[in-house]
Amino acid sequence: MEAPFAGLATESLPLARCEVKKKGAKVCVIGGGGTGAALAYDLAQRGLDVILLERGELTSGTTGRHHGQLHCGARYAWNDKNIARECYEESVTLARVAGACIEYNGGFFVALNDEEAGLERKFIENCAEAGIPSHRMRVSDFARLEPAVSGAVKAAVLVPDGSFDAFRLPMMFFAAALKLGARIRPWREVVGLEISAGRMKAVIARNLTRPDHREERIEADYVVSATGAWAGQIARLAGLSIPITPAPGTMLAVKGRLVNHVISRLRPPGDGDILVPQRGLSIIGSTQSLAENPEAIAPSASDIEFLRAAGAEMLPDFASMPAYAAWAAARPLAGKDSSAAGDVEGRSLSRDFIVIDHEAEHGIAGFASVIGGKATVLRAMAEKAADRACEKLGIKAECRTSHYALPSWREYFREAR
Amino acid sequence: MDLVIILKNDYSESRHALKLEPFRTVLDALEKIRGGEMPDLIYRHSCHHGSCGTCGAMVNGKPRLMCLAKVGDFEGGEIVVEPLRQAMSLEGIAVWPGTLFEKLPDTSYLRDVDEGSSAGSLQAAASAFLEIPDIEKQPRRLEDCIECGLCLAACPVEKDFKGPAALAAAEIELGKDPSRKAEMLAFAGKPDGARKCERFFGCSRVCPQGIAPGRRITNLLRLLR
Repeated sequence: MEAPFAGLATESLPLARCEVKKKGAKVCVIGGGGTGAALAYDLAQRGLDVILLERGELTSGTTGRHHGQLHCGARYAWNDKNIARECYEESVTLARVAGACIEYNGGFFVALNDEEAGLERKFIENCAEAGIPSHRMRVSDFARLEPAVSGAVKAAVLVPDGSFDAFRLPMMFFAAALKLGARIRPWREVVGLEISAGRMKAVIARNLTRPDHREERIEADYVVSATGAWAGQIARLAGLSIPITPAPGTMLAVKGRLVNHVISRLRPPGDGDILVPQRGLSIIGSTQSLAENPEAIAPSASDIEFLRAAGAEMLPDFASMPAYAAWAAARPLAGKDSSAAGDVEGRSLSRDFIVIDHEAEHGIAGFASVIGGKATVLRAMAEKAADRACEKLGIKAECRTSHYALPSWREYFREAR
Repeated sequence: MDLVIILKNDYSESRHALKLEPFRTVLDALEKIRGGEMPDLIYRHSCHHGSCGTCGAMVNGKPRLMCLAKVGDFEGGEIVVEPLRQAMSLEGIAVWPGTLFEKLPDTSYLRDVDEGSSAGSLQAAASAFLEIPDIEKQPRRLEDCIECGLCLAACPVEKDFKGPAALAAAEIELGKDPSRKAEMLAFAGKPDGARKCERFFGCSRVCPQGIAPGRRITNLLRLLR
């Protein structure tokens, strides 16, 4: 029998033991990134009939391209305690249910000068206020643990950060969704939303795997757009305008694993201040700007030079290591473009997420968008969006996605076809 | 630089002229083509930094990850891109990678970071302060294999063979977890196992992660003798 989920559980059940009671309602999820993956799983587990449509390959938008940091939330504890607390709870949950693709080694916030060292006490207080454990480590011990980090380190605070495989972790959610009966349909481009008498009726999608790109009509009782930086475009198909700002960031990877812990600068969040080890790479990120169009975001040579220098401040060897890859992705920040208010990077926009109920906001029943958020909180975003869908559909079903261990991503590719 | 990208599959071919800085990649070129003249072009991609393993394709006849193939490395700037060999072609350049995943054994995807035992005891001491059950007591990292299928695409054995990725995974697993040695050797010893290898070593030449599946298969054959 399942124990009721209380706070941060420490054990997970096998998914094979998950019983699903069918509820007879059909939900169409648009968007096959991390949020859509977790949402398809959550809804299927609550007994809904789920179909997910994704224009490209799964995780081909922002999801797969992110830094790969499992955020414990410490980075956001300076000014966004909500998302900080949420990141902590979700990072612990993900480490438990999806540990197979997470390097859960912890992370250090390092002070490289007196000014940053002066922030140490405040940083530790912030973490405590957000409920995030932290531990001030002796600089000499830190130097033995991470010898590649700059000798200029004046303080090092350990927090429970980690890194994960940005592709495989969401694919574990897709594998779980599939096992619980969700239909996952990549290569389907949504081109229309059929609305009549103020209610969502169906989604029209082109099947890009067919030479004729035949249109398919998918009827649904409820439609959730989980399209991240593309949410504005999907909302426009319903004639709506929603506050979403694509905020591209560039990342740079060098070949070689220089550290085992995530290394961040001990100061409020800015550009080029996180270094994430992942598999055999060291990845520095990120930059941030604002864009109108999330499509084909590309890294610039100046961003790459900036990141290389920023990486070398933390890890002197970073400068001389060959660049392995440079890439960019569009974060989906919830909120209106802040450049008119003088914030051209969008740093004033929250990293938190919101579920927009288009019935309450715009008079279209059976339609919602979930926007904003961080990759680390994908499960929580899905929980909130699924809660809303169930409430609207008059279905009573609890979220159980934090109870079960997720199957391997390999299962998805073995079973999906 | 000026580039000509030729997209080819079993029943169609198209040429696309475009400009891109030499440090950009074949995947960037496809993104540009899709963003412009060919919006319905499909291909697999996700991480854009050689970590997910989805964007394998035949690039000028060789299996490559498109996200790591810099356009500046192609003299003359003419690049032919085709769907990856030994995978089921869908449309455009996209393939279904199921053949690879069906062959792979169930193995652990994490391993201990090899170097530095003093770091290990420090890690244990440090992680104890955080009091989180799942945090690592020894530094751990993801396995190198990104399951991209390039090794399979470079393999001359097309039928009834588990292929380099699956056999390399078994060889890595038995080294990592001695309790699974017999199971992994039984896997490799099946009729479609290591003995089907033709010692072409194309797998080792194309592996973007330097896993050397060919050498690992040789090791399996030695253990099976």
